[in-house]
Amino acid sequence: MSDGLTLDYPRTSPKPPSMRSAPPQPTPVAPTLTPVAPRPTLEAPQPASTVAQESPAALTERSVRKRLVDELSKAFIDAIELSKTMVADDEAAPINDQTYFYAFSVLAPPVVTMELSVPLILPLQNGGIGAEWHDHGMNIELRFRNPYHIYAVLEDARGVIQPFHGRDPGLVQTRAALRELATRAIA
Amino acid sequence: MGVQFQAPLLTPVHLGLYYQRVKARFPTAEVQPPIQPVFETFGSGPMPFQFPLGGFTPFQPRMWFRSADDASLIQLQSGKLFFNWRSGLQQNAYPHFDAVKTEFMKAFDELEALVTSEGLGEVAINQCELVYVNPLPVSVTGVPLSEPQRIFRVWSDACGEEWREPLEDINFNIRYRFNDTDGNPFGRLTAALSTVWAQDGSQAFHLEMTARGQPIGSGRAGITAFHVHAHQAIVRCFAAITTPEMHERWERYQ
Repeated sequence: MSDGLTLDYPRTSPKPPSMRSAPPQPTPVAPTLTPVAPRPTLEAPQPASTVAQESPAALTERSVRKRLVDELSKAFIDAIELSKTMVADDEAAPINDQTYFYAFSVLAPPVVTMELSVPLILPLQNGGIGAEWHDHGMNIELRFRNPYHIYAVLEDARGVIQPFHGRDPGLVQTRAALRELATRAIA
Repeated sequence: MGVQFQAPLLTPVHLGLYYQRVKARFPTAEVQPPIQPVFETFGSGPMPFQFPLGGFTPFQPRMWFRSADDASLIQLQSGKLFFNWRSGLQQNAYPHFDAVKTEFMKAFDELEALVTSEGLGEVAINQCELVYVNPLPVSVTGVPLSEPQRIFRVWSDACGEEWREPLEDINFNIRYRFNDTDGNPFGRLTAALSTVWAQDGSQAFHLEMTARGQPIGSGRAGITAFHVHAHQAIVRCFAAITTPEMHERWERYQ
């Protein structure tokens, strides 16, 4: 869908300029490269006819995922409110909005796909965001100090997951701990 | 072409000061809604939903600064700077990548100069981005929407005999990682294919290729290095995923 950022392809034009243009012209087969604005949160254009009616089964699956995302979103928003109080009391720096979005982008997929409980979301004093699970004998803490700067604390009272304290930007260590947590939640 | 930065935070006053710097070349200003921060993340899977906006910061506008000929555009908001070329109503010629890169760096230099003069610290880049939109009209390619395999090698029409209905339309994303020399991911190339109908009833495939990731190094050089890498990746990927039939057809336009 266009949000006005697909600058070379105005849908309001009777005959879009891009339709009159030559197609990709690579060297030897380079595309007709048309830099346009980023549309990071929008899907590619699609006609209304391609938006299929969802079956009740699909809606059930999707509604579970949506509920988890909604709960996670609420936890983040609550953390913002807490942060504002802390900032007012000179106890913390304001949350950096990009760190906030980055943390959400990292946390939402595993929470949804593993159907994890929503972690406790807390503002950090330096303007970062913390996420914590303290369930089923596990202590999993992720501290997002900046985008791509994730510090993980992983502890397991049952000893299945080895203790880990350190940076884990690719969630290599954390993913195993989260899987274990998800397994224990089901059991 | 653009960048995302976590610092400094820009207020509407700063956007106005930036406008004063570029007004001679980009005289027309428009207010637009802001775009959310976006990151290529690794190890946790793609985002299942768009993050709900709101409750965080007061409304911060995104500004469009358009050139007099409407062929180019600077977009600036707190956290993002982009330079866009567009064909516009005058059907401006497609610029070469280097020309776009030069214009973007001019826009970035203006931002850095503003940040310095206002004592805002340094511009801390966390993502670079390059996007190409390739409309592929049926009227030009001669390929109906039911036969995407004639344009895209990554699509096959080799269905089993159990299903022989013609394809009506198509919509999918394919993603590739950018890895550094140690094998660590620093970005991603996403090719999004869809089908579109223009208001005049004409149909087209629509291929949007987005390369996004962390700068390759620090400062201006790191930004440029990413954009060059992204450009090369997009050109190579485009050539690789499209068919020789289309390559031959498109060469006629050169």
